[in-house]
Amino acid sequence: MNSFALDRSTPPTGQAVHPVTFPRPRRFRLANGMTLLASRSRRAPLAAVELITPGGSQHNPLHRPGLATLTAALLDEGTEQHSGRQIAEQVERLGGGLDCGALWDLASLAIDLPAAELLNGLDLLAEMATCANFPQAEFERVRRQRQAEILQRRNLPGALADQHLVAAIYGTNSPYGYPPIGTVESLGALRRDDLVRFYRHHIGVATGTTLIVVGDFEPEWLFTEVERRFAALPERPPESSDSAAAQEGANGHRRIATPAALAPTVVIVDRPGGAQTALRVGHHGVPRSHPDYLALSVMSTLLGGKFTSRLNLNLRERHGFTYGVHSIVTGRHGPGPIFVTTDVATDVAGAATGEIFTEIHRIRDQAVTCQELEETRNYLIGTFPNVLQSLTGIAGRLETIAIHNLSDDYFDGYLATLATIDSATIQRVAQRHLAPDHAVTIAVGPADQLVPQLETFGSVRVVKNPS
Amino acid sequence: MTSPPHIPIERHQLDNGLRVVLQPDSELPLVAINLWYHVGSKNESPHKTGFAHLFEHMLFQGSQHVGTNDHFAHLQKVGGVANGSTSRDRTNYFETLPSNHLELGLWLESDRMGFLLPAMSAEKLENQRQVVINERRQRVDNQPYGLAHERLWELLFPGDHPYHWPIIGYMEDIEAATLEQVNQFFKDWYRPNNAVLTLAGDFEPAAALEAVDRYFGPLPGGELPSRPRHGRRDPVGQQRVVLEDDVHLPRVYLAFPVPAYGEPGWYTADLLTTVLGDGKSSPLYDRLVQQQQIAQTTAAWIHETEFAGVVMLAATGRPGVGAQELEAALLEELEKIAHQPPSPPDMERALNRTRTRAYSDLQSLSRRADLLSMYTTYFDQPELLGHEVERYLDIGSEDLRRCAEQLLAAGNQVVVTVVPKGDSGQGSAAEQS
Repeated sequence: MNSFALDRSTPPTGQAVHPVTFPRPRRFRLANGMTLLASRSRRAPLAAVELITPGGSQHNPLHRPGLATLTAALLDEGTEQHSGRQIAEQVERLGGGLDCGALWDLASLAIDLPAAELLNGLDLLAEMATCANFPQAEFERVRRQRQAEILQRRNLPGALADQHLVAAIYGTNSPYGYPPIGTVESLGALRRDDLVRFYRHHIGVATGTTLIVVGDFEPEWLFTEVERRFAALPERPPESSDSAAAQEGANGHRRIATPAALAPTVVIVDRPGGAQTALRVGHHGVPRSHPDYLALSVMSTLLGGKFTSRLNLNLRERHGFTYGVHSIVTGRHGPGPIFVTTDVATDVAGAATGEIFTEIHRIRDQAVTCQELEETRNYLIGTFPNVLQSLTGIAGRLETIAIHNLSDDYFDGYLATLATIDSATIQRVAQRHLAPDHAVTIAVGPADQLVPQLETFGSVRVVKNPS
Repeated sequence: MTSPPHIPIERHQLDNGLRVVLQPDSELPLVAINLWYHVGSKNESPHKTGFAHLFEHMLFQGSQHVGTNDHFAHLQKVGGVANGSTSRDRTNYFETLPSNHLELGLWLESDRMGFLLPAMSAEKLENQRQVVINERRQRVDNQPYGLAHERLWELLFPGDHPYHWPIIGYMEDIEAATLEQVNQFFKDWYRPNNAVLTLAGDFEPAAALEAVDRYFGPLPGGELPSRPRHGRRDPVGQQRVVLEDDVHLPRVYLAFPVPAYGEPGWYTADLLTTVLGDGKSSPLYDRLVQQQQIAQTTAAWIHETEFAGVVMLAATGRPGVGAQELEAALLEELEKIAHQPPSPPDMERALNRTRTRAYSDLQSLSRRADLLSMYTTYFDQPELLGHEVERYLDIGSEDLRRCAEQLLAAGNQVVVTVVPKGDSGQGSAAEQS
């Protein structure tokens, strides 16, 4: 073979595309209203099992941030039948792992374990969902642990930046304005009864709850085994005059109001001696159910969602300001934030912030080129199958379907829908939903160096770091 | 017990010495490409540290036929994801692509293997030097507890041992690196005969091998510099240091040298860390976090390093807990095992968790390809994939007891303690030994 004939001057073109389809799940409904979503896969001799309940931080009463996440953290710390220690021993001796937690829209109990042990795993999840009993000693221990974690975060510039970003955008009248872990004070004020009530209302209920199972299991058999174990889950929460419950919509979602638009604001969290500054620029966004959401997330990928994004090529590659910069469009039941996040050398914080605003203005003022959009679309289409490599990756997609009430064939249509989003659409959603004149800029670093650099971006407020 | 999976593997070698491993799997239309160069921070010299990592960055800045900013552009516009990493022993580069774009990946990797230097410039070096300086600040200097890991390795491997300095390098060395030095490093080590290329995923093996030969075959092999001396750690006795940092809670690290990755003693030490610290029912978590409530978090792990392995135990204290109490509690759990072997339930937990992790690892094509590159680079045994876990099955509880006993008896441990500023008890000095 004449190897010198190889022409390296242009990249090789691709061969014919090998199509991929999303493995459509089987959907079953239990008598008590709970849903089973099952996807059959032989990727590994394991099972990925997740119980997704409505108990997310969106249901926190305003004066009780941290309630949902603390309640979820205690789900494996004891039931009426087993202590937390026994639960851990049982799961881990089988080679499995348990993960209980809450996000904004859901509380989840997840277990990964060998496929042969699936029924043991289902037994355990059903037990935690029906009779978790929040032992006082464990409640106090875990609460103290989380309070210490909150203290630690005062030394994490990124955590401080995130916390002040949402406080500035949402204020104190929205659950979104508080960190999901809560504050030292709000956790301190909780009683065991608060957790029990939250659990009975939002976690241990069948309505709005989905069990996701991914592994090599025959679906009809799986449904029989699940129905038998989860039949005891009550259909609805007990009657209550809880004022938080009155704020729920028909589907159990907390109605989170869109906050008022802000005047341009700069919040500087004074952290002397920091060679790096954590930067955030953002404002509120839209619920995931908004018709513009998909186009917005495509826009965000182009703007700051991949290495070759406009923000990264500008701030990292062209200017060397940072190790990385991203734009984020959150997709929650309520209008979560849209923001840009980065860490930069302190002496270029002003210049970097300027470039961030420049890119936000640019994507609003000029339609993106067809080539840029095509490349972004191809990136999203091409990377789509990556999550299908693992059982937990597939389960994650099913979680999205479950929590946002999407159709089972949503991801089949997703790739086709991407093809319909054109430059005009991107510009329209950018103009409608990116608001540089109502953005807040957060900087965590030495205030004496940051104030002069950032005062041009809004009215400045300097906050002392409580650490 | 599930039987080990059947994973088809082919091993080839080109005339220029490039080793090629193919693992066909057509379930998903993806292909993972993985390239290991057998060079890492251990191949640097004192005062010229951080070159391997800096060079990893340079490799993403284009080559003769790939524009300066085009490496990621080429990949991302077809839906590829890519990255690289540097360790003490090797540098790896990897991408996962839709399988119809396999040749794009081969083109990019072969171009930077064979045609990098014509496109190298002082400007590119400056640019990436700034990125690496930012990275060092963000991940080490500005990160709570960030400097503890550096001190651990410095104390474990003193003097000019190749494991002494950090992978990212010291700031003064990053700032001083010249274009000539950096280019020489590339010429010395980035050779086909110093590399393993692995493909895992959707391809037809014969066609894939032909494509690999077309892109990589013309690249010349070359003589390599002599390898650093086999760095067995000279016993230096116990080493201790206390660091002050911008933290609220104290943290203690204990580190012990153990046999090198691949030796039977390494697997025993690894299983010991799993028994000690993996899961809420493990002794470290159960005693320190739940019962005594002196620790916020605990951890035990081992490094897969080629010259000598390292076991580390760590605990972050609750507010008001002294570092000495944490250290004593960690040592006590190790001493308990040194005196009494782990129970059958603890052995069962550790082996089952190890097995589950091994099976879970095999799902990702990229992870599979990386394991194949590793097994081939270190041992020339790609067939270990899916079977390495069997090396744990013959380890008994008495083996673990003896391992714990040896760790404690050797007196070679390093203890690094990180405390809040002002808490080291010796005035305002930043560091005390």
